[in-house]
Amino acid sequence: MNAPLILRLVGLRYTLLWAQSRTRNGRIALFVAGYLFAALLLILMTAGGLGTAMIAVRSGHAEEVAQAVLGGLFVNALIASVVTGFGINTAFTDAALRRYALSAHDRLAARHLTGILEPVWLFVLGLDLGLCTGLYVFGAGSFWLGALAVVLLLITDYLLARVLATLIEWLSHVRGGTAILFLMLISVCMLPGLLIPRLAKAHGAKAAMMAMLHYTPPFAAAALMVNAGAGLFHQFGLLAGWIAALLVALAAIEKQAARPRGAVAAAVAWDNRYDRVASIFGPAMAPLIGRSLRYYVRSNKVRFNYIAAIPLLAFLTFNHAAEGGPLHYFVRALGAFAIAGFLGTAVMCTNQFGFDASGFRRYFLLPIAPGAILRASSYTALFVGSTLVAAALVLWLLFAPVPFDARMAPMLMASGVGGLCLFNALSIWTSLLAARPTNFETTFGNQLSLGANVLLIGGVLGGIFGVVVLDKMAGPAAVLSYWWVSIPAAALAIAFYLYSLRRGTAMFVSRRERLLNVLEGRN
Amino acid sequence: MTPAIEVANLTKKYGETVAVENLSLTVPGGTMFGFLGPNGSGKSTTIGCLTGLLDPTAGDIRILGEPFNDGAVALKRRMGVMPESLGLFDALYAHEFLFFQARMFGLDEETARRRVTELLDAMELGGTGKKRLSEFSAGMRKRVAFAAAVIHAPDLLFLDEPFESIDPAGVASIRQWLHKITAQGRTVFLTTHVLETVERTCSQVAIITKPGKLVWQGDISALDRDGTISHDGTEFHTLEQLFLHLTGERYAQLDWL
Repeated sequence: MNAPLILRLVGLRYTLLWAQSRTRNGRIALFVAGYLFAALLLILMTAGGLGTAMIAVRSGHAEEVAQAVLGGLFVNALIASVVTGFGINTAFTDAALRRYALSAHDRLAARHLTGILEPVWLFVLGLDLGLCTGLYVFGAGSFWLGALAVVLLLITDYLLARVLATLIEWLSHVRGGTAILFLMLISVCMLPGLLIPRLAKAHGAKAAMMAMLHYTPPFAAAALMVNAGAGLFHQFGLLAGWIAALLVALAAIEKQAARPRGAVAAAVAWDNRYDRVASIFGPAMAPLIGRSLRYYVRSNKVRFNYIAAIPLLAFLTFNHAAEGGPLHYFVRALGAFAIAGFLGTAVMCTNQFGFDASGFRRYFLLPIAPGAILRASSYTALFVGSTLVAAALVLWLLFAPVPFDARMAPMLMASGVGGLCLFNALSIWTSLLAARPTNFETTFGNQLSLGANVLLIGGVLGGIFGVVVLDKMAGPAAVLSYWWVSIPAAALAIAFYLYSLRRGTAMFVSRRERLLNVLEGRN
Repeated sequence: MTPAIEVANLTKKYGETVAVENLSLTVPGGTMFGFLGPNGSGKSTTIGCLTGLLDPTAGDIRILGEPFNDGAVALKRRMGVMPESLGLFDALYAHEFLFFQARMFGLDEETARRRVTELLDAMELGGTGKKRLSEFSAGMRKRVAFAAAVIHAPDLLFLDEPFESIDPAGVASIRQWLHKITAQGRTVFLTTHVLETVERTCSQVAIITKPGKLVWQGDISALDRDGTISHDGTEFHTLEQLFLHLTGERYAQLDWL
């Protein structure tokens, strides 16, 4: 194995990360990310790790607490990496590495070593090590054994995220793959709600479930952390088995995904669907919106988020609000509707020109006022997002297990439209002030700027937890009695959108050279 | 005939960096005009200013006899541009991209479709109906960008490095079309580093050096008839000799190479 060259490539990955921070925006992002990272790590290493360990040891359930903490971290890291794309950016593709004197095995090692050393995985490692340290300090385990278990656990987490991401990426490229993805998402979102109540009633199901969970990586790692002696080889063997199985699965999926899907020679086929839809915006805007629509529809990232948006929001709405009656579902749904349209398009609308590459240059060569470009792009995002809001409303009216109330539909509609306008207004600003060149072809990897990430993650969390607070503080009855408030709130959001569009248009023209430099990688 | 381009004291600065300095230039209408200079001399920046992509820091530009500024939408309809970076929308198919370009330049749907089909056939891209532009080879992308620049039959055509990456047959075809364009009284303004092609293609040439300073402009049609160009009392038999004399471009010798 060409270890020196592989390590040099890992170094290059960090040099590239450092190079990204040389711009003003990059420095701000680095400062904020570094500060957050350090602060969170400190808090979680001390309060989280040691605190949890103390509780674990004092309660006499060290292994159970370790299982819960490691399991939670494992699942959350997996979801965060697959959904937001953090930690699974492909720094070097296999094709890119072929230019170096590396064998196939070396290339595999280089790719995954650079992958697992992404900052997000180091963060997860820090959290896991916090618990390990805590258990050691309170005398409930061996530090070195625990640390080794944590490293193996992290490798399984990383590999599982890669397997899932590669599988989804591959599915999004093959015929019928989108439908399979949709079914998978529906299953993942709906299964817990369907299975858990049944399992709770079934005799012996819980014990069987727990027995099965002992074969999972977090449980194996937890057992290693607290039991230095018993079953040592069994637990290590289990983790090693998981790693081997995931490596085999990853290799198989990557091989399948790498098969050339080369487009065969085909005559020109005129497909008017996009242009027909775009024509509703008038003849002047139609070509621009038709072009933009094609980008939205053909982007794997957008397609994945679009089909995932409603199942994900349904999961968040209906899996946590059962206590206190079905009306609580409605309050949670208000938040879900506010982010529904945005969630499906956010990867593109928060960075409207990032996918254009050198095409951005062409906008200013066209015989139109440049402001029309921004308007067309934003209208497309609104339009695509509005289809999600409409679909969510229809699904709510047909299937929501909530007693009918005539005030609900206008409230949900106002929440959907208002949220869509608010987030798209903010997206205009992130597109202009925090643009970033983005690879159109990939499904995964978080390529958004700090500003766009703050808007996306902050917006989604705000939408979800804002209504939780509202629900707790006011309750469904009070929320419904003030139903009319949703109308002026939506009007305010629309006004903010129009204002942003007008101001953004002027800024788009004045910042065009700067945007050009950023998007063509010269910043 | 009205000059196709008139530039007076054009200056473009990026912060403190001067990319083009007091450039004054006149491009006669109906000519094939070669705009030459070493790497980084400001050719693409000048084209950027002349096509509306960049804001000049100072100077006046007249295109086809009319002042050219940000609001010159009608003038832009009469211009075709093939930028250095090509400016393609990679997620589109070639026919979609050309159709978009044609519609943006005011062609009706029927004419746009007809021209797209004709251009794709002429560029030997007719079988690419299911291939996105991102999957095209460098030469194919260049041909698509060229087709996009000419689809609306512009009066003034800007071509930044049009022949790079294109195979010899493609270069010959493009040269033939360019001659046809100028024969109709329309103007072609091109930049390239392939000086032999300029000798065979252009009648007028301007040479600039860093930072965007005009050092020579004149007629080079004599070279096509085995003649010479005279400058400062020296006779030059090829454009390359003149170019190297004016720009002083030399690369260092590497002993180990």
